[in-house]
Amino acid sequence: MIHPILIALLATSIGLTPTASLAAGKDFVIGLSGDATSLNPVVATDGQSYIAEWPLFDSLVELDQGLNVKPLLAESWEVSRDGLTYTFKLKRGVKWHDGKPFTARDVAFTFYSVLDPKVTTPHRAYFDALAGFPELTAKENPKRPEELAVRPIEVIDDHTVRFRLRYPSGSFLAVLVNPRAGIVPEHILKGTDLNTAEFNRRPIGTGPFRLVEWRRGERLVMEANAEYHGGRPALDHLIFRIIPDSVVLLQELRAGGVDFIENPPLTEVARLKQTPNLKVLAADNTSYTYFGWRQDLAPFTDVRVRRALYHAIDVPSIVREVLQGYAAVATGQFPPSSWAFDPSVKPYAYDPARAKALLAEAGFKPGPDGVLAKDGKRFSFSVRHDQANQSVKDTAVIIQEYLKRVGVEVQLEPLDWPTFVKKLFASEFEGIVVGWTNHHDPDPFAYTIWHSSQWKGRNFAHYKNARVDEALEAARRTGVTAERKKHYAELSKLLMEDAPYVFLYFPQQVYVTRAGYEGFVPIPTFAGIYQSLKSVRWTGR
Amino acid sequence: MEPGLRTYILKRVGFAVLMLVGVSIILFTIMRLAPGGPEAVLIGGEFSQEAAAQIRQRLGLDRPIALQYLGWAGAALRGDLGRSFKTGDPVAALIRDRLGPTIQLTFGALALALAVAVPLGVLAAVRRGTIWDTLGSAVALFGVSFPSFWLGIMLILLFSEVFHLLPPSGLSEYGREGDLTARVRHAILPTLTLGLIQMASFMRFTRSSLLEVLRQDYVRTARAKGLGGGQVVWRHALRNALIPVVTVVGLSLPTLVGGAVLTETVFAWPGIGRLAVGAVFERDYPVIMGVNLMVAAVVITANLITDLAYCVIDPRISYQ
Repeated sequence: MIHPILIALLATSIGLTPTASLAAGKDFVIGLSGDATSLNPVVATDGQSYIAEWPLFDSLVELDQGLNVKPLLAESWEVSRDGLTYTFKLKRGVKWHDGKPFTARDVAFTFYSVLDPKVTTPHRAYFDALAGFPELTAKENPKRPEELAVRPIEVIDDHTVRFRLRYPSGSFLAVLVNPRAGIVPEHILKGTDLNTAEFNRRPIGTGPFRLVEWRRGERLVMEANAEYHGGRPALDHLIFRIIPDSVVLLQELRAGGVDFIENPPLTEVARLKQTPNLKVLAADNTSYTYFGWRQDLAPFTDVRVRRALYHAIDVPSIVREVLQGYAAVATGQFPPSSWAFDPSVKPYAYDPARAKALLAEAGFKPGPDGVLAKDGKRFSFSVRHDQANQSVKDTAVIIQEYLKRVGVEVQLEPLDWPTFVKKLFASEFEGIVVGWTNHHDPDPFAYTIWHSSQWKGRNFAHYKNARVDEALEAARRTGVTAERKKHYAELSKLLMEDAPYVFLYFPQQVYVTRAGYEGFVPIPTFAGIYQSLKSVRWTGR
Repeated sequence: MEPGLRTYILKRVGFAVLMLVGVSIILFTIMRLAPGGPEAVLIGGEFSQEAAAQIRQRLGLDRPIALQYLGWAGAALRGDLGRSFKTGDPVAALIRDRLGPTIQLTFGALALALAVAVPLGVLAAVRRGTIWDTLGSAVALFGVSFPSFWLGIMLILLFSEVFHLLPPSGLSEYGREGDLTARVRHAILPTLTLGLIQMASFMRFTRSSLLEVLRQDYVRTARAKGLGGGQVVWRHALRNALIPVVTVVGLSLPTLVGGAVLTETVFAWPGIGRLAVGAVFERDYPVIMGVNLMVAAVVITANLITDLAYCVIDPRISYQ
């Protein structure tokens, strides 16, 4: 073990200069803060895996910058007049990375796997509209597809596949996109346990890049797929380097060790913008951060109290200070980039005097220690949050201070993520500050967060409002976007009136890349920019 | 081998095995007492109670904890440490892949620390009260006072940002794994970071131990015989003075492994430490068990070797 040191000293004595080994402009190095866990789109659950599998797998359709659906593996599709049948014509000549042809059977296999209760997948609920969904996914004795009278997914021929729905669903096309709906090969995965298959480590896709090497905790290497049906990508290699420390990641970018990073410390962004050979990109996102509480616990049951909490917090200043402006103030469930967003809904203005008046109206009087009290009970509660999310942490501290100013006491309880999530879904909390993921289509999350049938699921705050239920159901059961838009606008208005949360902000995703790389398309959905890796090229400018 | 030594070794090995069993039971229990569970991580943002129950059943977490432990221990005895909840990889393979970088880092740091600390410690002891002594103590104080994550980042800023001499992180560069120079260049900063911290305590121990030995009668006798100063210090005094240092080196192993956790995180070094930290945050029980058991085994073995090393350094010590 002395040798490396002697050699190190020798190396020092002969003088060290940085050497470039990667082909400039051809090998694109992406810095990630953590490793992927599974490269199988059916079972992957985490952001890093979503990012890494994006270049490897194609979905039937993909999104453009306006979140409209456009063809990818599907060349075209037809929707029946009643909105219950979707028939996809698949692109011809598409090959898997191992050279085998891609066919409609792969599509059917992929989505039947998602429906199979033996497979642990986060995506099952998105396919609620499929015919036979309750039978196929039943906890006790689930049926197999061939036992159903009507096949939900039918292979018509090698290049045609048909989906049958049990109700018209406006979100059905929208859930068929990457990174949650990449198509996997039947010829490799049939008969294997998808949860633990070797495939999850050595994936075969139809995407623009193929996996060459995965060194756990160190890096993933992909090379351009020369046979790609959309044309060979301009870059030769994608190298994902795993660098957990954000300061070091930034330093690697400056030193030339990586070409692209996401989520730099926001306080650094202004400086990065001044750096001549770097370029800062910002993309809107669907995930949002909110301050919520248990709807069924007093005093949160009183709408005056809820509105008072909204008035007490200056959200725009949090966006300015904590997010350095890289966020949009939220006015509800939907981001400004979504078609379901209703610009006529306005948040409660920051008005501490109004907050105090509302609280007084609700029967609260200042106690001897300055904290408001009603019937001898102090207005004091705990707020739980994820300890690892810096902006959530900072936001929670600021909220605590704002509420103190109107006489409400908050104890912050930071928890680690596994503990926090468990407590959330067990409804073991009073208040929470959460950064929550969201789907680019309004239905999957709006329904499960706000519908009163979902108290055991994502509606862990126990919200219940018959008119909201009605709007959600109406929006779910129509395929007509204009209709859906109307119902979601109604939902947004109802929610703002009711103030079940303080909707805080939609943080933007910030990326930094080396100047000279062009072609990024910041699609406003989670990690959407990674979809454009296939068109990124080096211009040298 | 003398019979006394053999009995001693057998006794110690038996004790080590018992200790491992104890460690595994405590670890298993503590892990399950910790709040949260792997379900949240495995399911992600689409979490639901139903999905969580399904996962617990698939992973066998719905069984009584004693049964779970027996199942795990039985498999471990057969050499099967199970599979990672998160990735499905065999735990043994995960550890094997990460072992190399960690061994390189910890032993490199240990070697570096000793190579610098012992001569400096001797210098400080021999030149007691001079500028060398003060300087040595200052360096030592410096070293123990730095948290490794801070030191690591400062070294990165200095050598990468300011001087453009060394790469900030990683084990090597893509396409240059076989290139020894590239690997050494990547190893310098993390080894230095981890080594500096150990260096300080080794140096202080060498100094104080040597000072004590230098006051003893046999050293005076050696001097009276007319031996040169250098010979007295290096051949007679240092050998005895090193005994407590060897103990400290043995005991420092857990500290080194602990320090490696932070150092590996800062330098994106794909070693055991990062594997362990990730597993803890993700409640990946089989990986936590596997890594901790391995570290416990290494530490117990190192202590055993330390005890045995005494009799090599000092033939007067015997194990009757």
